[in-house]
Amino acid sequence: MVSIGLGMSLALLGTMETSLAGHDRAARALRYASRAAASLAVSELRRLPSVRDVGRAGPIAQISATPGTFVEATLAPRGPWGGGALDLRALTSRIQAEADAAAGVAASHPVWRLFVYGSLADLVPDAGVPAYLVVWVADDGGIVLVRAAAFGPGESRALTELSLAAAEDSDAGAGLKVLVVRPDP
Amino acid sequence: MKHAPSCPSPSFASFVSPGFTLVELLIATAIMTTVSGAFVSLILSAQSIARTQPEAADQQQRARMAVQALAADVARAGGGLDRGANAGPLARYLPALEVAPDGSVTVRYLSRRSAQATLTAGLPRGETAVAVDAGGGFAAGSSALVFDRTGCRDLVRVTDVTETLLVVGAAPRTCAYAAGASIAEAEARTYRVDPVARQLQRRDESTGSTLPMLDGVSRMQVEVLDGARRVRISLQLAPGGSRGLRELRVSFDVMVPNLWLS
Repeated sequence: MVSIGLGMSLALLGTMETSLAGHDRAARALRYASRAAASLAVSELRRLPSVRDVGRAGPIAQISATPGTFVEATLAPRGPWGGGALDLRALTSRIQAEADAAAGVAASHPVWRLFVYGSLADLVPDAGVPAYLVVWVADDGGIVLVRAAAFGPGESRALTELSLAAAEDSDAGAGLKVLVVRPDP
Repeated sequence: MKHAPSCPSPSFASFVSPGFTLVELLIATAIMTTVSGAFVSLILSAQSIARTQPEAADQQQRARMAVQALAADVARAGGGLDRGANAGPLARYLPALEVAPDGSVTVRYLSRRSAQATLTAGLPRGETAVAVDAGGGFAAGSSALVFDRTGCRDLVRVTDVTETLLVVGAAPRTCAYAAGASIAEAEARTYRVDPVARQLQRRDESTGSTLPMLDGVSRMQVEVLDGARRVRISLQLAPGGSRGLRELRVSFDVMVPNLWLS
């Protein structure tokens, strides 16, 4: 009986430890995925002939007037981890509210719009991590802001924020220069 | 009248066990002793594991949390201004990540995009009122970094905020700053191992306050690799109070994107 009890408690502890380590691993994988999404967005922005309209609304207000090529057909895609649908409209509102709260009483409150969004598996089929990537962009007085998020199971997410500046003499995407990277702002 | 037989008949004797020989008894005793010994030793080692395992799991979890906080700070090192004449990585103007010979590491980064401003007038050494172009995003009680292109830098404490004026603490500064210098909310933190307390500690350079991060740390080593693209941090965790806990070595790599940009 004693040994059965000890064995069971050890097995329970082992399971808990494995679960904690798993969550830690998944969080790290999401962080890498968000950075990958940010890199993808930068490369897509650099392909644009002009970044002047990137912060403007397209036919759907939540989406940038010049979205990237990695976009899904729906704004309510299924979570790749088998959960319910992600509401990208609601997520955009949430990101906007978070940014506004962080800005406080500062004069500048840039408007965030969807730029690229899709499942990580569509980008890297054997990534092994069920993540959904969403990148928003905003124009903050000539500075292009990028906010890349990787969403995972159980409301987990990782963010990476970038600020980019266009070349002084041109607004071509090719001239964009990364000023700051803020992992998990 | 019948009499009971005085001795068992041959047929009765055949049902009586002849007993064990001494050799059989010795062998059985030896087997029993071995099995019991093995069982007792199993129970004892299981008890010992049950005693130490929760502590080991706890130590690992605490290490995970400390590593996460340390890695997050190191990954942000060098994050600079988004706008203005000094926009770009902080490492252009000051050391964003410093590794000291004692193994401690200091990271510096600007923490919020909305709390960045340019000085609109000069700031002499003893002056506490800082004229700025955009002070509204700053928060009273926060730390800010004043710096310019000459390599001068000072950490100050913001005590009051208006859109065009920041009031900072009266702590002595190393430089006087001309108009055009930058001020932004910042973090400057030093992670070090206190060899006496065997503790990983985080010191806030603006307030001087020290926060314990992880107990039972005997050593920390920080290596800057691949031309500052990657930082490898190794922690050596000493066994805690329980016997049977083995030394744990934690080593992790952190990408520091803002150091590549410079």
